[in-house]
Amino acid sequence: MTDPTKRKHGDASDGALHLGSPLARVDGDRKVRGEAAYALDAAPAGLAHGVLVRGTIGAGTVLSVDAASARQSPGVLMVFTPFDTPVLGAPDSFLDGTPGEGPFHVFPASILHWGQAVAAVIAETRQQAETAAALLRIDYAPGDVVPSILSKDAGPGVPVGAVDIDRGDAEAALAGSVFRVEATYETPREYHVPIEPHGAVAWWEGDRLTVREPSQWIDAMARTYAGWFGIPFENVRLISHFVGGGFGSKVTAMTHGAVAALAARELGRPVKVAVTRAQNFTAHGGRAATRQTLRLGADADGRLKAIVQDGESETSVFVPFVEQLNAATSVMYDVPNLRSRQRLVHVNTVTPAHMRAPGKHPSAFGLESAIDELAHLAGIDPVELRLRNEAGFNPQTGQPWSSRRLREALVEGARRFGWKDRPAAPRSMRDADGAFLGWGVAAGLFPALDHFGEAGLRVDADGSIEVLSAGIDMGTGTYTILAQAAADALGVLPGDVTVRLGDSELPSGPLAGNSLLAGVMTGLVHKAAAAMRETIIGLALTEQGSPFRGSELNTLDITRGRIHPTLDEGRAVPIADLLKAIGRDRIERIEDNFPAGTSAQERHRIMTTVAGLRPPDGGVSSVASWCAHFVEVKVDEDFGTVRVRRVVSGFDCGRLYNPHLAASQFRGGIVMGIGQALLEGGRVDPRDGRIVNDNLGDYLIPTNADIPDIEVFSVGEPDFRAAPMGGKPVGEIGIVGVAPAICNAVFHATGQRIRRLPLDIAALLSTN
Amino acid sequence: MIQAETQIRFLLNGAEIALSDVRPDETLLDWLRLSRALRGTKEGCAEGDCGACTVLVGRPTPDGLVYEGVNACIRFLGSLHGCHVVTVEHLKGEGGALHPVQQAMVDFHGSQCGFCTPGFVMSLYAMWMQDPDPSEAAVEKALQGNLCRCTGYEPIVKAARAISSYGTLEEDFLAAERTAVAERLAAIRAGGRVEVGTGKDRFVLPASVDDLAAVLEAEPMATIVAGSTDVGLWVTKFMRDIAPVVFIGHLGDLKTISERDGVLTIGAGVSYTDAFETLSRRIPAMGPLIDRIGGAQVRNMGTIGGNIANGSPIGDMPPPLIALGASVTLRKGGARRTIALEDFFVAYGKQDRQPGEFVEAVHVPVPSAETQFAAWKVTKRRDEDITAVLGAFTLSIEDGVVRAARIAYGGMAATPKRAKGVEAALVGQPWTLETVEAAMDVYPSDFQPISDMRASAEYRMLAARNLLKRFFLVHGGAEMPVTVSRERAA
Repeated sequence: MTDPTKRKHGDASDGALHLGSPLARVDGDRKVRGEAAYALDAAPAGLAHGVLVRGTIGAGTVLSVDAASARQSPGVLMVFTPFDTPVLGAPDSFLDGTPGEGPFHVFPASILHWGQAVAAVIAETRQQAETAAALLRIDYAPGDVVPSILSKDAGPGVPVGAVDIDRGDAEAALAGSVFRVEATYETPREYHVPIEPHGAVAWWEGDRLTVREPSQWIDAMARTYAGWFGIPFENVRLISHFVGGGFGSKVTAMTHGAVAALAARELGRPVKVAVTRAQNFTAHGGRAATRQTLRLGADADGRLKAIVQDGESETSVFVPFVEQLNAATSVMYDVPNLRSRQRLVHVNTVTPAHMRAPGKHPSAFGLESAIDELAHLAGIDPVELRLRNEAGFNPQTGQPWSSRRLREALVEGARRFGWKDRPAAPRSMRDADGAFLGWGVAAGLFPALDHFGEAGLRVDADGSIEVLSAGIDMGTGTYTILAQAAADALGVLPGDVTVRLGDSELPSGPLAGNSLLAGVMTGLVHKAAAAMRETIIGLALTEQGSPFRGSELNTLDITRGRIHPTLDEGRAVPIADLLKAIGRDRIERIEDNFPAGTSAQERHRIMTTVAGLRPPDGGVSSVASWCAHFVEVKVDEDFGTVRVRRVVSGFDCGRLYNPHLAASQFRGGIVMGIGQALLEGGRVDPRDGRIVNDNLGDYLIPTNADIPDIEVFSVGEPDFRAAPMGGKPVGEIGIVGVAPAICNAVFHATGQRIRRLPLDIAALLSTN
Repeated sequence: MIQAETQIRFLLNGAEIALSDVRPDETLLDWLRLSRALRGTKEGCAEGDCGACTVLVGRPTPDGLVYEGVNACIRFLGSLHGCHVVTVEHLKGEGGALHPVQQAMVDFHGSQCGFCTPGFVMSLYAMWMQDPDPSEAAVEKALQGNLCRCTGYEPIVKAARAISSYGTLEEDFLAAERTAVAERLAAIRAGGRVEVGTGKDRFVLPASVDDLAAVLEAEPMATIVAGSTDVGLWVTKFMRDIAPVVFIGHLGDLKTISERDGVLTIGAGVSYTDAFETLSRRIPAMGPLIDRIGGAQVRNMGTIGGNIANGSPIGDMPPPLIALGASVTLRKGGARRTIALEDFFVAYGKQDRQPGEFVEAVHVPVPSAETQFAAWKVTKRRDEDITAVLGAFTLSIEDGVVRAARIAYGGMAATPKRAKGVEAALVGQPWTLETVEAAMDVYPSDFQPISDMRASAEYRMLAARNLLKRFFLVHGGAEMPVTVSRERAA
């Protein structure tokens, strides 16, 4: 044990007390009681209900909307159509530096995808609004539809350019390689499917707008509302105490929120707009469909010489969203020659969005499948092949890694899984009932980004200690780890700390995206709590009324919420008592990590646009999390059914701020990966681009029974280049590499390569 | 003329509720959240898929008060007359502490984003009341109808198995109230017909089966609702006007199962859950099949009669019942007729049921000892998935020769349908692989399946054929593996 007198409070290097320990989720109690209040649980007095109406053509124009009977329908307060909805203001783009999209037409007459919102009805009750919505008669002039990337008329797409890579001479190196594999891999549209659907409750007090809405990025969404309604940013209060899952879908303000706020303003009363489950498939985008052809070349020992990648990803006809297909390809392995091209195929869909591990997942699906094909061709064990191609530094940038323990994850994972007993040949393992078994492996990574922010700490004379941040917790565990971080640095117990999150009135927090919030916020809370500790000790030494007044510097400590002489805990005084003794009701500290001299205007820009995203470690080293998945599948060739029977996954995510919560993130990610491999995919009507399976009965996500034993373990070590408290990204990496590990296992079971997700059970059907 | 009561009366948590103003299609979930401000119960999908809205409904049965998890999103408010609704807000442990189910969920990290959590808590509570020491399989079954997108389920399963270490059923707060609740519910149910609403917009609970017949004769176009696992979606998803509604789920006379001369007679109001014990005991292959219909909430609400009456081509009950030679009794007024179940399904969406007529019971012959029966459902997702292909087989084999065969499929045609050509190819032939393979070639004359989102026509045809082969391998008497997988030629 570390000598307590030498402990640097909250610093992980010395084995902190609380951060890093498996504390139970502090909000678990409220959640199991049903007391955790989500956005749509808000029911302010006088609440009216709005419903969105979806267009039913894939492209074209709304010619007219006959709303006469809808307006006459009982309880109806207001109908919005393309022809009578006020045009909202023009927020600048949250993509910093690019021009905004101009004034916001909530319901444009021009239809660009099936399901685009074309109208809204506000009524006293939701049922009345739905009834009236069904009475709207909408006349369209349909246009030509390009339904999906798979459509014949989708065309080759347009080059992205910005993500192209040319490293060495890949074509020449490929031509000279001993082993070459070439294959095309496809991933479908996937949807976030948080169990909490989208929605918003909005109301006005004068020119101040309050919105209750699940949000992964409070400040950016508040900025959009301010822009729409032409009010100062400070006049928007966005509240998102609990978020029922986001996975990237709740980052930006959307039409439903605009309608709620607009209707609330027009009616002078609160308005709720709930997005139905079906509408959640068209009101915002899921992950873009992708297709990539990979060519890999290796020498006789399996060392990669070249990768050539040609990919396409789907996007809408109006926004060039890039699902970056070389996110893993370019950095996973030590490849001297790499050429990567990507094209965007514009189709009539809602614009795709970031979804858990954007780019990384489809990129790893292609690469890690191709690596398995190469291993099979070269007759080298796929774990061994990966170890031989370990990259000692970032092959794309030349930076050293801040830490990379993929080797340890692979080796330890193989040991735990029993990989050494794997026969190399496919179709050589069977279960007792005769069905084929297969074992597969794949690796993954998640590159880290850093961000700015603030953290507030408040200590009251009534004994309460609060951590304050507009950052959010969507189940990831922010409430818990910030209590842990504050407890260590301040010298109190986590149970003494109340964490308040998800309110734009609180100190500005970064987005909950790119798995960066935990790293940024633990660092900021640590900083604020440490500052608070120094403040309290300083007051104890100097203030009139303090029992420690006049003590020498560096002689006081705070332990379990009590201030005392370092070597004499017997004379301890609770912090609250000290505050009372010196006549202070409250002490507040807000700390940030902005560069010195950052103006208020610049802070606003940093916190509400992507301008705040930056490389960790000042760009000196390259920071990423790493993982390796080992999977066993069972395949019944009579029906093509595949069951995942066992998963063992190792992770290098640096220091885990709370191992229980991190393991839960890993497991949840792996489960989503199982869904990606076996079940999930939007099905597009080839006539008009409608999403056919826009419900939870047809868009299948894994149920409990689909989930086998999942063993997760950490090989990470604290990495203080990655984040102040030593952690690396946790929330998204779990899914990266799961789908290829499963498909590689299916190949091992059956000899059939699965190159298109989700796996088509008909492809595995035995016909003999 | 029976004097009808005009209030829906039930218990909500600790309170007695009497409602005169109930819309016929008002859901329990909307009422809880909007009228009662009980917002711990969540809406995740509004169609009975995700389980976030799970609440308990206690109802009197001949075996006493039974609490079951149901999907509040597709349960009609009027159907709760004489029931006890328990929501997550009502759960409590000793002295205001967490209930054992809740404490286990906290300690085992069973919540993450928390939105699905109240639904999981209620499903686990329902399970625990039935089975305080559940196996992993029992937990899996209990959680089939609850989706979680965050945790990866394992923490929830661990919590489920640990509940009893936090408290006993005997000390449970509902156990203490059980007798009093049962008495209050019995008093509510003592009345006759209940009818709320006016004109077309009425919700009717007939006093008895005879009263049901009378109500339907007077109102032949009324929507008959038993479990509402289908009709609920007509409302929440398709916005259909279903009024007037005649509910039958409370009628004890329709909830009976009896056996006479080797034939089970199952009342139209018997839920999958209530039928499970008898069916899985008397016809063992039905047990695993029923276990894969929806989740526990759907099985608690949904009825075998309803599954037949709505005529879906992918309903899971008709194929096995047709293969077993089941018949169905339809009643209109005082007149009854009994027809072969397969004749009930006329065409897609069209059944042989006249306005005012209702399914009263289904009669299921129990296979004799010499008869082999099996039914298999093929889906992409194991649990809570809609059938791609379901095959059911009843074969009698004597002296190595097929004497009789009834084979029926779901998902292969516009209705549940027999494979009569395949049957003919089997009957009279020796029960050998050669016969089976010859019969497999006959399938295209019986079925021309379509391709849809769940499976292609080719997949359906291959899987249907392979199910017959599986039946042979399982029931062929030879020492053969259960599955058909064989080495392919290299």
